[in-house]
Amino acid sequence: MKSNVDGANLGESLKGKTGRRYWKSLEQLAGTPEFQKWVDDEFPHRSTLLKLDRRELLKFMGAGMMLAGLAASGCRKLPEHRVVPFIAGPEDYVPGKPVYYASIATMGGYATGVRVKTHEGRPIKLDGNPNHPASLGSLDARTQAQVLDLYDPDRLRMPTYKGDPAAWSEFFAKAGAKLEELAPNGGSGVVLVTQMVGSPTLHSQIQNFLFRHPAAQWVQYEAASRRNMIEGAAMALSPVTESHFRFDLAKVVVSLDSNVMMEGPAAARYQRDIMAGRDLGSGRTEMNRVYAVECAPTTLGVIADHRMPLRASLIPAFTRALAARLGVAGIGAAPAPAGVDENWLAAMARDLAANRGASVVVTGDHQPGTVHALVHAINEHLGNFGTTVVHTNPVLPKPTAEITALGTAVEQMKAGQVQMVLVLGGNPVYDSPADIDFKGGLDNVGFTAHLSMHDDETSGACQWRLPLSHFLEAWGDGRAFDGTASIQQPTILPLYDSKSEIEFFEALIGGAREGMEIVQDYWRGAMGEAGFDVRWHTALGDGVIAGTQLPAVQSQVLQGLGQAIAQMDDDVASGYEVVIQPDPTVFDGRFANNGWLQELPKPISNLTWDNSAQMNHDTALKLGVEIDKKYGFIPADREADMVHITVDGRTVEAAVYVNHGMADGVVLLHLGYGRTRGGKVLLPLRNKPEDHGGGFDAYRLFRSGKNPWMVVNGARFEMAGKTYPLANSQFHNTIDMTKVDSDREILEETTLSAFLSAEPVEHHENPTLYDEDMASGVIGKSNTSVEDMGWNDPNQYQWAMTIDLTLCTGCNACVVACQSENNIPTVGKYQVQRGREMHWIRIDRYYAGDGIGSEWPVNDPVIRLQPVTCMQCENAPCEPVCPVAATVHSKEGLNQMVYNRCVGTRYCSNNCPYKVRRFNFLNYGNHDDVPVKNLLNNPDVTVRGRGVMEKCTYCVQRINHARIEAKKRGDKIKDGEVTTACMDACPSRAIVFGNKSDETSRVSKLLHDKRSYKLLDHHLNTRPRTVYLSRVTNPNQEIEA
Amino acid sequence: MAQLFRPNANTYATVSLIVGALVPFSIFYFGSTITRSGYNTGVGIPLDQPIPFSHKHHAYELGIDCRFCHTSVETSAVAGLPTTEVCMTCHSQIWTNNPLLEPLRVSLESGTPLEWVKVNRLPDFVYFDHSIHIAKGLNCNVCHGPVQDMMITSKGRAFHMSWCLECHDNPEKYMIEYKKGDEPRKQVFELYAKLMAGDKLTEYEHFLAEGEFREIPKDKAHEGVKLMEARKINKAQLADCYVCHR
Repeated sequence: MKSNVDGANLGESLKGKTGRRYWKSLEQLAGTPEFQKWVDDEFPHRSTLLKLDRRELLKFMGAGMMLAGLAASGCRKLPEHRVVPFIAGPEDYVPGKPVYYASIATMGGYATGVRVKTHEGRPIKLDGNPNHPASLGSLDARTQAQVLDLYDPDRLRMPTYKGDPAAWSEFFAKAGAKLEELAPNGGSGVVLVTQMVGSPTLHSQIQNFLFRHPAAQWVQYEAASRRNMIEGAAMALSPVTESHFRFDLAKVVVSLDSNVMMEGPAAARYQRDIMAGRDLGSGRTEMNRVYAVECAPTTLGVIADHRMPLRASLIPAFTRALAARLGVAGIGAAPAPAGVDENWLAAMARDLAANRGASVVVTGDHQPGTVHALVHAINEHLGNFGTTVVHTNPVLPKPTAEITALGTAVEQMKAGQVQMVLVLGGNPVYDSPADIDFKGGLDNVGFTAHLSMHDDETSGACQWRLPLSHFLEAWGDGRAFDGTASIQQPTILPLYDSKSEIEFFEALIGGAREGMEIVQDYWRGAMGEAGFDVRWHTALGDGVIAGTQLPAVQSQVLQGLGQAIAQMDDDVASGYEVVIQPDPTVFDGRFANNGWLQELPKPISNLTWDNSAQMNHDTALKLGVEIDKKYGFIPADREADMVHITVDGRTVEAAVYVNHGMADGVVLLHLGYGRTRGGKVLLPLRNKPEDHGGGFDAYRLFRSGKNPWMVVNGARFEMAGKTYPLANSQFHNTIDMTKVDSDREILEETTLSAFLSAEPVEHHENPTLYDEDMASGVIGKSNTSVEDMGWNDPNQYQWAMTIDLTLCTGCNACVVACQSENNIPTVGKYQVQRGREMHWIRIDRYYAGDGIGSEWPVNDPVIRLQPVTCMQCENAPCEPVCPVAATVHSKEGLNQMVYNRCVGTRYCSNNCPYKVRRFNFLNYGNHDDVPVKNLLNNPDVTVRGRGVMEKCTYCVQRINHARIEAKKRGDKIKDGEVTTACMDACPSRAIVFGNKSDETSRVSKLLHDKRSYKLLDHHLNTRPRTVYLSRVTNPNQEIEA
Repeated sequence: MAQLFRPNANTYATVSLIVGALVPFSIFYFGSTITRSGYNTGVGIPLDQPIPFSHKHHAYELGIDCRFCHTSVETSAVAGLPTTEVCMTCHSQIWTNNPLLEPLRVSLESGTPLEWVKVNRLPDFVYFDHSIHIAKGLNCNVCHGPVQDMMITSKGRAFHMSWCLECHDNPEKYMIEYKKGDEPRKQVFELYAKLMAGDKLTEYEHFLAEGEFREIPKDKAHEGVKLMEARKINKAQLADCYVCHR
């Protein structure tokens, strides 16, 4: 590993770029012309088909007009349409009105409550269920996107046997016969492989099956399991329990390389609780304080008041040092690991000690069990047990994934001791650890079947490929992180000939009950016969079964734990360490065929369609990534260098992505990519592999050993000498900062103490520079003066939005919610590379920090996030430039985009300083080739065609519905009656929407909050209706000083 | 050399000049007439339906309320079409053997819904809501033409945007009370009550019953304004693009 750092040249272009400027990438900090092209040109990478001069252009225009005349749409008869009424109308059904159902989505065995919006029997959107403890009404991006999976055209449609269509009855006859044959030995030789099972009904069925076939094996496996957490609890706690956190009661939160807001079964809930403790919106004057020590930037690290990059392998030492500072028994003296500021650590420890019973220390699922155990000891020592840390019995019947059992089962398969393998869900051929050859095992078994939504890697290795129902098609049940049980109710009949796991088991044991009966029978047994019908229907309506939350259990840390941990040796990296994590969007690979998630920019890195080897700039240099000789840094706008990473003789080839803010020497890989089978979205295009992501398969480095998530020592790195195009949306739609006088026009931030002592700011309206003559020139509004435009006419609703930058974590829930609500298409990797993604909301990520100082400062920059969507400017620059008046102002202050008027000049987009308009270059929303995807469209929103500009509408369809309903009541729209999709989804409650002419509305109050500021308004006088609330942090004075 | 042009050439020249000037206008005129005619818009042209359902018979002669079949017209964006069972409310008792109703009986028996040909269709980017128009007292005939006279249902209006805007720009010009003091949604059906009872219609009501679209008489203009205010119609906002397009 020879470093090729060219010392003389390193950071040359960044010299002198000091001061707290915000920058999206080093290119912007250095001001390279390549970057400026992205800023200046609204549509970079557009290419002309022909190089035309003026005369030729006129010729083509003439020919075009002639052809257009020939094909004039007025000359054809409109096609005949049919209306098909019901035979018997469903009860309470009103045509044209959506119906909502409460259900659950399950991941890792834990349920999250969802509210399913259905239109004419089609589920079209998932929202959170306000009654459900894991959701409280908001929903993370991954769960929301699962509605797209339902309509995935690549789903398995019928059972097949060795590739030939077969019938379910055929399968059950064969499987039944096989089980009968093995019955004399008690079912020895039968292996069931499931994902994490949290459903009480399914678990009882599996128990029933195992009762009938006592020698059969049941292996529960999921790659992203909470094995270390369970191991830590087993090491530290008596009785062994599962911990939940009451972040709403916490004044100090310390994250030791975790992201409780993105991982685990209560992520959205924890995000809500942590951010509620930071919300200054309702006159609160207190904030919690978050410390994050982490190897790579997370959403929790971004909102943290103090963030420290630290190697994942140093976290055990850091935790011990923290425990020692706090005086946890048995730890003794422990030095802070190298590179950690002793004062920082001591100040954090004092802060924790000062908030006994009101603090939480958490660690990540990838940290070893010892860290989890020590964190338990710290929490107990701080008096948090019973207040902010609550213990319950484990929620899942089998709380952990059984990697060892999986390995044993595979050994038995290979030894020919297994006759029958039933894989229910999951994809173990793809996601089992690299040293477990699940496929090799399957090949050696006489009867193999895989129940799966897609024909994936595991299906490919099995004889029977059985279609699995989507959770929106089937009955089921599940438990939330705190044990609250819910019924999963279907909202549509199965689209294909598929079965759920529950129906599968019923048929396997020869039963004939339908899905609903099975679930009902279980709960009739659990709840009792008395009043069951009423309780059942209440549970369905509420989305939770009342009183099923697990009771808190008193749990204590074992004596002598401190001593035991103090004596343990850490595995400390001598070179570079590899950290493996589930992908923030496609997770363990199960969502790899979901276009919404593939195209969703990953939090902080803004990468789409691929995974990468992420590391900081120094590490990349040392590994041998070429710096740009001219600028002296690794540019992010060129093709990424590839690196070979070898662990235990297995090599992956990964593109290097420089992620500023990572700890030195850490290489972060995400699972979930490198899929080879299972759909069109996840596979590279055959003819143009470079146009499609797909990434690399990090499972090749995922080992079954003690801690699969980290390769502390023993990873070898070698530059591959190749490059790979990553589709990174970080350059796209960059606000031009060179013309802004002060960064305060972009991002304002302050500290809590400064905020509390600050004088209220007088919010004066800027004098108008709006050209009245120009305004009066708007087509069709010939006599409209500026006053008549109705800005702030208090007799009308005046819609406005506030986005609280204190609360935004960049989790992307709003982006998917908007995509789902507004029929926003995905465009594919190739188009994203050209900056043509269609998301109406983007989350800008800025870094701040000096360009070049004493050391390379970009290794620990300040990271800031800002969601940007159409600002609905009162003085909108897009409006006067539209030659066809396709974008005009409404009386309610909306900047209307009239799709059917738009001729696609793109002038509006060119004139938009916020760069929030999206142009549909290639009819991305057209699903004629896959008609099933049309079922997903929200019928209240136009599906835009090619050549049309689009942008955020403030969810005008929802405003219109509310307005009509209010008018019918003879009333005004009440505050909170209209919510935008992004606002609903946001787990942090950072977005508030409402009517600003109502002085009592929440948004009015927030608009007058002294934190409010308008993006670029001082500079351009655009008078945006979307107003930001500046970011407030609550730093520890001792550390700041 | 003989003269090239005879005297009558002047006439030819004049005529061809006039014709030449008229031709573009005529093309434009005929073109627009054809575009706006029923041939293109389908207005007034009865469509071939699976069952020759007569609104005239059911709504006018028998006096069945619109809402008996179009159940959601007051609550939802779409008015709704009767389910097979709704038709069978009566037709399980009367006309049970009528061959014209064969498709209806087949539908109930076989469980396959009837497929009606859509008469009024708006483009996909237009979002019309029946319920609010009913709530503001707009008679069905304003948009649907003389429904009570239709043997086979046909389109009543071409639904050109300019026509929608006549009302959305100046709603007061189309606001009328059919029966003094009734709440707006009841006003909607008052015209049919009058027709059925054989009451004397005002001139405006007469034209409406005939399916003609016109403004209220000039002398009632102040009443229209009053009604618009009483019904809380927000004129200023009504012509915003986002009201119908989104």
